[in-house]
Amino acid sequence: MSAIPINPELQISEEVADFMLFLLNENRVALPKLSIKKILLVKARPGLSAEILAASITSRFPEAKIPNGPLGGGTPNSMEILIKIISEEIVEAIQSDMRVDVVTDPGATVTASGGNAGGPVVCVGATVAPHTGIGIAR
Amino acid sequence: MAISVPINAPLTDSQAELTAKIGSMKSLLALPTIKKRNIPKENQMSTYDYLIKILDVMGLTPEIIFNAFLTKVFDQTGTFLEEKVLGAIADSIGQQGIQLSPYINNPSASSKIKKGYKANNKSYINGLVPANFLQVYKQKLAKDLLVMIFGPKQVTPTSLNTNQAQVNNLINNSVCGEGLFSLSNNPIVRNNDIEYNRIKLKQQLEKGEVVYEISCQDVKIKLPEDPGFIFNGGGTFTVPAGSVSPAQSLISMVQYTNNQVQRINNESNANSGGKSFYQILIEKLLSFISILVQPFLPNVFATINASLPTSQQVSQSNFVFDNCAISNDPENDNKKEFAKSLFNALLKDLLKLLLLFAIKKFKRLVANYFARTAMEKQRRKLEKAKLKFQVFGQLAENADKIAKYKAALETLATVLGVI
Repeated sequence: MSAIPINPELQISEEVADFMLFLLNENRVALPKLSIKKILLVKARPGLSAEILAASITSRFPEAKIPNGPLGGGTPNSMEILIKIISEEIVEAIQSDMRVDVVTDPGATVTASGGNAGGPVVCVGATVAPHTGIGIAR
Repeated sequence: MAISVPINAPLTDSQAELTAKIGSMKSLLALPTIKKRNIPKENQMSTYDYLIKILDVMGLTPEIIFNAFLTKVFDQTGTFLEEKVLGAIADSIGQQGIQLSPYINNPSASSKIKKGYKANNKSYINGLVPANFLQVYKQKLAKDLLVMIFGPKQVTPTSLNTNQAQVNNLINNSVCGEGLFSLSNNPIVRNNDIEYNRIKLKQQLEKGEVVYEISCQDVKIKLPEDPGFIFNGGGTFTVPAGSVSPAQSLISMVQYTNNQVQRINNESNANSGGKSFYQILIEKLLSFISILVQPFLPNVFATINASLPTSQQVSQSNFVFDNCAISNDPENDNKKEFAKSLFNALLKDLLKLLLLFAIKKFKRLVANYFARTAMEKQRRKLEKAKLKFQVFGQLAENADKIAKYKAALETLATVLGVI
């Protein structure tokens, strides 16, 4: 046992780790906000496909030094089969079980028209409360 | 023997799914639960060890920081070490409940009040003692440090310290300091093990052949026959070159140890051996510095006492204790204070250098990492898009399915012919 102790104020290994994790989080590239036009364009997306996803992943096997295709002696490549199963189950879960809740910011422009004895009336306003919606992921 | 035909009882999909799910649920339950470990500060890895570990995983060596630290401590034009020594004297006096000016002697004062005494003593002593009182002794400090690390006890005309009494004192304190200081967490070592280590170390130091564990192997290191060249420049067979700074001499010593390790091992291990010895050297420096400066403190105390009435004067022997006095009375905090304060003050600056270096390198690594991954992501996206356009050629994105199919098929026309 060392008789001369290190000052407790110099025992900051946990704080060092926390600080570096903070730096890591701070430097993370935040996703840019999508414009309404870009969001509307997602209508053209084909949707998730377990097969396409599995093929994309297995095509990158060489990057991780994992062989593609059947193994020696024609043994099926278990890793490819596993990726296919995982992809199928994840896509299935997203398409069947995932829930999408949407909330719109207050301030959406509202216009209304009508009339009274004085003639036609046009109203312009904005929503004052957020509104919820639902969606499904596909 | 009767024929036993195993019954073929296949499971339906739902039966198989349920048994598989139950099996996986049982497996998950068998996993050890992740507990948030709340480890007390004193049992956590020391900051020094953790920073070395971080630098190691980033592929960096702390050598450059150790060089900077040695240069700072042994700088013959700076007052870094002197400030720390004066601070340690002030702390040691304050720890015993004494404030020099205005004079207070209250040994039973609380630690908070003593902290105030220490701060006042520091500013008082700094105003009295010249800030460079160790300036001309830096090279001697470096030489004595090597004597404490390597021995030998027998003084010769070419020894780093030719005063036999001083060498005896240095070696005794080196032995007593074994296990007193640590930059790592306190290892669990029994008292009889410490005694055994001390006896072995004493034998090695007296002989001048010290065994250190470098890169998981015991390496016997011996100072050269004429160690003076380390401090004079040049080599054993060359004419001494110009003067070298004490820090440069210690760095040369690390290189010398590196070469000794290389002689008994392959080159790759020698390099790691040299780096590990650097850590040993830094740890020894922090542990022995309170002993190294003690011969130069009587003048400091004389300067302090010159401004104090006789009844309020302070004696070095009451405030500065050597390693043997501390290890013989380990429960006495007053005896430890000077060594503890100096050790921690230097450690704080070493940690500061290591931390700033680690943060700088980590920031660069993180920035490069995110830039690289973003570029990779972008490249993959682009390649996928290119592939898409190669297939569809000039066809617009919103073309119908038949047109798309036709365009895709046309890319194979060289083999299939015109369709």
